[in-house]
Amino acid sequence: MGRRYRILLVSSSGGVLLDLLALRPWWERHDPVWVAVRAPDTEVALAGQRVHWRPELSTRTRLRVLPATWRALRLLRRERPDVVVSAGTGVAVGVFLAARLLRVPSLWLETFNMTGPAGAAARLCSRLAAAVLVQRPALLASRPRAVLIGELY
Amino acid sequence: MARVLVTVGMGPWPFDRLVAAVAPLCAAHEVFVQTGTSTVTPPCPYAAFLPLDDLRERLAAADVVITHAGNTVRLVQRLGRVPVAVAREAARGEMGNDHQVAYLREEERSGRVVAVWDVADLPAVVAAHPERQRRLVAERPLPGAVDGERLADTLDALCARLVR
Repeated sequence: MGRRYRILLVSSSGGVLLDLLALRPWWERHDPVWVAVRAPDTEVALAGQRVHWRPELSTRTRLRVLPATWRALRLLRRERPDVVVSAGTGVAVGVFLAARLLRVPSLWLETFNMTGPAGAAARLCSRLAAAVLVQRPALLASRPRAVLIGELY
Repeated sequence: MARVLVTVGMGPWPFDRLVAAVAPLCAAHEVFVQTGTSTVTPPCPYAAFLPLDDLRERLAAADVVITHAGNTVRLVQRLGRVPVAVAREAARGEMGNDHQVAYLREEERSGRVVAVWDVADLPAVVAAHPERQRRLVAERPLPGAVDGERLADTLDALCARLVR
């Protein structure tokens, strides 16, 4: 048994939640805590997990990124995660900025159906991330610091 | 008469174009629609959101799954079947970007999917589905998913490198 990490998983609703849930064989070896956007799927899927509920950020509410980052800084200081993981979307931006400021390594997981250029949140988060987890070999060339993890489901 | 499941995913964007296009199917088939945040409703049984377990059961029980071009595409393929997929388009307010369009174009070229670009085609696509499904499953391979133990080992090795 290796070292046990405190893992902070950050998720909106939709397919990105499925991706993080598919990482369960990994995070259940460790101490997971979640930051999630409250929605019908996140509420059901994360029942029994430790969750900090946060609002989603979108391109229309981008000015909220500063207060969101501030709140994320306080949350990271309290939770002291060893690593932060997200597949998206907007809610991850504040947490990834805060993690970068506190030098906590973050992993950006590219969701399966992302085949071409990434969206705004994905571009920013993958730039802030210590590694970008990709599910297809074809993406290794086009993503910085990419690590191939295989198809999650 | 086929059992048809339509799903637009659990995300925050409506997909009225697909939900509205389901109407002609409702008369001829046994249809259930997961509508998400769409602002229109179909003339057949529907629910805004389904718990993931419930959705998986319905995916497994359906003869034809019609889905947005999200991760459901892979869920259906893993059940050994061929999904009918419609991509959300940013210009129609169905998503913030066009990555479903790019994904579906690529998957249509080489993967096990029936891509629908004009939702008026849905009745004909459903009628032709059993035969097309047989052909695509026979002709196109499906890449394997990663084993859980290996995935966990890969990520542990990565963290051993990154975490102080």
